[in-house]
Amino acid sequence: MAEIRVVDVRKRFQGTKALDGVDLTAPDGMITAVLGPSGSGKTTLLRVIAGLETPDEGRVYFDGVDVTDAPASERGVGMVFQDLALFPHMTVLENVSFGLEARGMPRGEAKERAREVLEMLRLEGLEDRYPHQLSGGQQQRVAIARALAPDPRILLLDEPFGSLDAKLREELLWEVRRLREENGFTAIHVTHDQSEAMAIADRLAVMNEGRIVREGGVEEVVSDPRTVFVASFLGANVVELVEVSPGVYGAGRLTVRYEVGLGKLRIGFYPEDVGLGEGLPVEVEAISRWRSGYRVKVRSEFSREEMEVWLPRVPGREFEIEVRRWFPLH
Amino acid sequence: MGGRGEHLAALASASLAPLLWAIAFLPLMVSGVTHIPEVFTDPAIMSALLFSFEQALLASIIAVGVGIPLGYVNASFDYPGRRLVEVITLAPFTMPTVSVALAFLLIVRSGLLPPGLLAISLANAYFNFGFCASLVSSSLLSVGKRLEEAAEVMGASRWMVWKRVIIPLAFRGVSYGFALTFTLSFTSFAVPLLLGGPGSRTLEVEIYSLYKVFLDEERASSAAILQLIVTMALTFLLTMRGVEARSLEVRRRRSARAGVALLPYALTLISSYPMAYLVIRSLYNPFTGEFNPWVYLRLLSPSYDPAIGVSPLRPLLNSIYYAVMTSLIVLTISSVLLLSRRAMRLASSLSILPLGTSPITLALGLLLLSYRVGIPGWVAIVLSHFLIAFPFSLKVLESGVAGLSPHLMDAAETLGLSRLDTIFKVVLPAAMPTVLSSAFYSLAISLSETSASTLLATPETMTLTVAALRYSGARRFQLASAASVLVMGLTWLFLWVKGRVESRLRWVRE
Repeated sequence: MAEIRVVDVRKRFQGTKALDGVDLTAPDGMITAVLGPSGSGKTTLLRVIAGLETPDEGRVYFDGVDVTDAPASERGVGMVFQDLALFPHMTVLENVSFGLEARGMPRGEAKERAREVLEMLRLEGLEDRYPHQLSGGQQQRVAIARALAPDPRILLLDEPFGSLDAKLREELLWEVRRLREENGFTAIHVTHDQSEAMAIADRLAVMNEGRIVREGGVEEVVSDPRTVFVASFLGANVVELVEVSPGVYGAGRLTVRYEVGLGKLRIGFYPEDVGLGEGLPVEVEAISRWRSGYRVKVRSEFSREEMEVWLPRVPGREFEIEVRRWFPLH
Repeated sequence: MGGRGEHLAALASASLAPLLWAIAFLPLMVSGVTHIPEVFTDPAIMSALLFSFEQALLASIIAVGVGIPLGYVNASFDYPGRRLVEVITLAPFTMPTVSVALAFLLIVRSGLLPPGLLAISLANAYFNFGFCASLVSSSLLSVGKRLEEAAEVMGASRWMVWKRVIIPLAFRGVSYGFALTFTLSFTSFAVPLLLGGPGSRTLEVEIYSLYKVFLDEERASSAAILQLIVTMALTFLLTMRGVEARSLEVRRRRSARAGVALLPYALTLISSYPMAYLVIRSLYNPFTGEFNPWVYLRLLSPSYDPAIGVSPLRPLLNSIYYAVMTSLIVLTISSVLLLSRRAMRLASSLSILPLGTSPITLALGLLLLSYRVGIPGWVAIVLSHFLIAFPFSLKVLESGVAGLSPHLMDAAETLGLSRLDTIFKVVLPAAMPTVLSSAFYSLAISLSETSASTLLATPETMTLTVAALRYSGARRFQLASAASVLVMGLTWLFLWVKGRVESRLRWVRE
């Protein structure tokens, strides 16, 4: 168990800023999802934490101990790579016991422990296969088993589920949460997929252009993303309201109360937090059926972007929606 | 990612081959550069240059002309014996040049072919047509049915599918095959040496005889510089063509009866004729009517043979020794290159140029260098073999390593392994089959190398390929045939082992 703290970490690659002053705390025993578009620096951050990249500036602490200058092999982290990086010339069992032997465990004992971990990941019977003889899902499990076998304090996951179909991905996300309950490691999971992040994490850290732009518990960040970037990355719609009377802002027949007094207010809301009723006038762009209702792409004169709303029925081409829950944006 | 020291070592290995090339060309420049203007007014050199172009052009036209229909039939139809046809028509591409040259010489002597331009071009086309065919068929295969179907769904007629989809995609294979055949024929040496006459000398032969026969170092050097310029330009064109993308999808072949495959069958027969004739000729002397399979034992004899100026056993031992040394160097350099992907990329872009450079020019440079600096003859031969084999071995290495995850080293490190252990326990074992396969490839290339060895060898340092040439020069065709059959057999053995090693690459196969 360990708390990870990253303080003001900066890293440049040939003049491009990959990390531009990152501060992050991943609390002990929790799964923190680092979410961001590609190129936002999240993989670099993970590699800095693993010790595979040295930061130009800033420090990395595990449980208050400065590990910035410690090599990867001495940090005691487990890492699952995006392309898995299974050793192709070793069997499943050899892959999984590798980290144990590397840390000096006698071979027989290491094999024994590896078998336990394989069982934990429901991989029994595949010990003697080579990675290329496994399905994609099995390979992912082996990669996780290999990372967990030495019982690391910290597990780092670099978008390892990107290549899986939705069902398998969901299954493995559950698996990681279950393993966390059993083993109690601290995990950082890097992904660009907001639904994956929300499914797996206790905490979210949203990255953009080498910085962490929002960090907090999942509910906290989801219910108050604060900025337009974070809100749209989480799938919220953004509309702009004007002050109609002191403390009251409106767009169409939608009105909200908020204290700013700048004449304008931007708010965000999620597709599911709307209903049919008096409010924001919208025009239908496209409709898709989903479960018992509809996912509708709409346009509004109060929003620059196309919006998505989920409705039980679609009354016509033009109608109004009531916004039941919203948050202010900066 | 690698550490600083590993990067430096890898970068040094990457630049070793190009550096050696540069050093080898230095003495050529010194003794040849002032005579360059005279080269253009030298009628012998100019006519050799012209003849080189003529025969290379004719060879390429024949190779591609035969290769296109063969490649098309192989890609489109599944006829009985297709695999065998592919293997036999591709075999000449891997034959030692001396074997092809000698086989065609024997055919010419039997009266089936006139010597000169036609025989030389046919021999060079024989080398390459199977490879051209496989380029054409792999381009067609990479088109896959899906693209054709997509075009058809969009309303394209059969003709339009051919014109807009199939031919443009096959064209890459065809043009690459043409450029490759042209370059290889342009720099071929043993074929024009044995099959050419006074009016049909290529630039390679001209350089060789200027140096060896007329002992004219300056003119030989300036002709070599000319050759260098021409082949560099050719290689540049060749690399611009790009290499075939590997096909991920296998085109479904229509099954067809043997009738479709008349051409492939005919070409298979024609392909096997020179090989078979060479083998028969090594066992049988048509002039005495004598059948003598024991001729191969004479190649193992340790007693002096005046025809080659040394015992016949010596060239065999030399050949094996050089091949082993060459592949050891390749093995070492490949292993170091594995430490850094950047170094690997650098090496491959640096060593693409020597691919097309003439072995005779290289050998001349090394020879002049070894006189000036006092390098032993065998070292010069091993160096030349290494420089000739390295670009090819590197290609094998690169494609093998492409199948490995770039994060293997990182993974090992996060699991607690030190850097040194990472290299020996993870990187080398994971890449070992590829490294071995590239080493076996260089073993085969070194063993069958003829041109550079001919210029560099003395009786003491002679290779088996050179012995075959010398025996043929002494009109001892049965021994010459036996020697080149032996080289051919050993070359194919090593290539077979290379193939076996590759097929054991269980973890790199897609």
